[in-house]
Amino acid sequence: MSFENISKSVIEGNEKLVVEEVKKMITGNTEPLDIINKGLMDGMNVVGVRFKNGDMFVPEVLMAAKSMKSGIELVKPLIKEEDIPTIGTLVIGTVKGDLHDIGKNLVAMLLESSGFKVVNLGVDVTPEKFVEAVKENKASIVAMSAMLTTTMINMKKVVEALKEAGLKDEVKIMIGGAPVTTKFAEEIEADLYTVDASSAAEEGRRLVS
Amino acid sequence: MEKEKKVQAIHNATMNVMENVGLIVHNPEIIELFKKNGIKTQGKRVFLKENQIMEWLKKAPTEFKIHARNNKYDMLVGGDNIEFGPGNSGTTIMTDYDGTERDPNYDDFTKFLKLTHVSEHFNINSGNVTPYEIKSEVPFPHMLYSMIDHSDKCIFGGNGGKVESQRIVDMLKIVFGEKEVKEKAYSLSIVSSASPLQYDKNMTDTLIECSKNNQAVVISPAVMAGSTGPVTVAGSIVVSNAESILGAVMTQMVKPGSPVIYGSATSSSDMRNGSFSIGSPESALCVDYAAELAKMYGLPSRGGGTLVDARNLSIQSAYEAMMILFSTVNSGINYVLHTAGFLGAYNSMSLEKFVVDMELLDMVKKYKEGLDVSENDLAVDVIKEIGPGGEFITSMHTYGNFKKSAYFPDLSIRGPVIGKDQEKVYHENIKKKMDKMLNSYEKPYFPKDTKSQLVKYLEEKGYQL
Repeated sequence: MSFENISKSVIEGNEKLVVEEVKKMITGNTEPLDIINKGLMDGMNVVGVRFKNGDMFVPEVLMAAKSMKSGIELVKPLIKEEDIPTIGTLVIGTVKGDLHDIGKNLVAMLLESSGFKVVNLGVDVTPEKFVEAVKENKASIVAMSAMLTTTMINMKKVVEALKEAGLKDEVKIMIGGAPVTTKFAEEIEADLYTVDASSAAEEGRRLVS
Repeated sequence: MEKEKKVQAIHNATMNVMENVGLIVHNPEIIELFKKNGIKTQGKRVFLKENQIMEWLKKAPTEFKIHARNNKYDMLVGGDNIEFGPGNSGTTIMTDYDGTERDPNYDDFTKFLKLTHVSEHFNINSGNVTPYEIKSEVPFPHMLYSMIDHSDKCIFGGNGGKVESQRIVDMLKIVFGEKEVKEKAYSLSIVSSASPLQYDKNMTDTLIECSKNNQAVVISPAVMAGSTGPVTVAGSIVVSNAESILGAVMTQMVKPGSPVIYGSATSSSDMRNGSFSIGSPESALCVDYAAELAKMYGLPSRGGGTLVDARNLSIQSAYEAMMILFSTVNSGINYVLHTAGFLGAYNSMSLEKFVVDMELLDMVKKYKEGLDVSENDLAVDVIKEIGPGGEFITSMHTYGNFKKSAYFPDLSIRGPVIGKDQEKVYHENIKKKMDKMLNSYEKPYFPKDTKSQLVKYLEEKGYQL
């Protein structure tokens, strides 16, 4: 029983083993934050690197994230809300008129696995809903996704709504999706455009560090 | 298992899904239509039985014509015919020869229009790219004006939506006449689903506007195996088939007999990063089966093309494009939507790739022409005359037949290339061909008063021409 075992089980996406081992550690009075940082997060960090290098496949990453999440759920009740390690809160959604969400959900999962508290607003999200969620959750990042040339324009509307609500300077804006480009991001005054889920997770972290 | 049995297996699985899983349609008007026609609905979800599906599909034409401003470009869609379109409308990324991605501009846009107009491969013109200079929430009608101005070939529609579709129909009425538009199809528009098993409001509004006005629609799911459909390709074809069938059924419910193409852009996704992979063997298989299934349902089909995942014109783009194009022309597909210029899994357009794709199409068409086994071509007399150990290069038969016997590439380099950079030479050949095509472009006649009526209409809608 060791942090290494937990890490290994996360990497292998073995949810059952992760749960077993975390339970053992809890029973053994291991420091809960250590279970998260030295065991679960450690494993997920390895997954992140391997994924980026093309050595792990998306379904394997998702299994790893799923098992890590199950482990964290066991540990969470033992930690005070304010002590739960998080590098920030991220609000994410697919813009109004657009139903595409797979890429967005992949980004949400990877960002959650890398330490963000993620509020996933789903699809067809109005600018008002984005603003409300940013306010309510004191988000450090708002992330938007669009798959269609006809809906990406709504990203601009969200930026404008954030300006109107006086929140534009308090939150970082990141965008992604097939028709989106760096130029478009500059045009609408977003802070970051990333091409895929992997870089979204990596560069998203840098936005708040 | 023989192919026929596999197609039947896919059909049976689709019927199971359509009856027991159903599809969701985010359009109250369509849901009402389903209810009115005795289809089981549960909120936005619709469930269709096989006999209901077959009854509706029977109403759709097996083949139909799309008419052009110049009727020598009228297109027959269906049967054993194959028609090619350059691409769809409104891509927002241009890729230059060196791989740089940028915004498309009006110059790119008109170059595509001209190349399409000049090329004998196309009877239809499309928007291809959205010029950044057009600042509008509904840019396509502005692009359509330019399309009609530059070309009298058939018209391919825009990105979709009620407002855009209504404006397209209004413009068609101005150009062709209200009565004519009621009776004939003068445009082809794309209707995509939101896989799995879903249609959004935008696309169904497009379907309604087009079908009720007798304009042709191509139903085009793009299921990504592993993401929006089962990772096992057959399963994704089942999902795609259900969506295509539902799309066709919807057109017939809106207006029985309205022209519809059963389409598919379905393919696999790469499990290393989730991206769509359309330049793949699975893509070719999906095209194959789309053609077979459409034939089974008595509908014209769409699929395939010079599809690539490569993001620039490269070795990768060449072999991907050739694999998919070659299987497309052998599959029985009736309409090839993306024949020229596309890169990066439908993401961007390239002028150079457009020109290269023309060469691919030339080669493949020449292959499909097949063999001539006439007396002249069997050339037994010539063989007799020249005999063993002789040579044919100086024979009159060679002189008289060489021009039509083999394919002469415009771009491909053959023979020794001493002291030259092959890649540079090839690039020069692309430039030469593009210039030749653009210089040979002649603007077709466009009646002044029709033109000014269109301008008036668009300016009234707020477009700055």
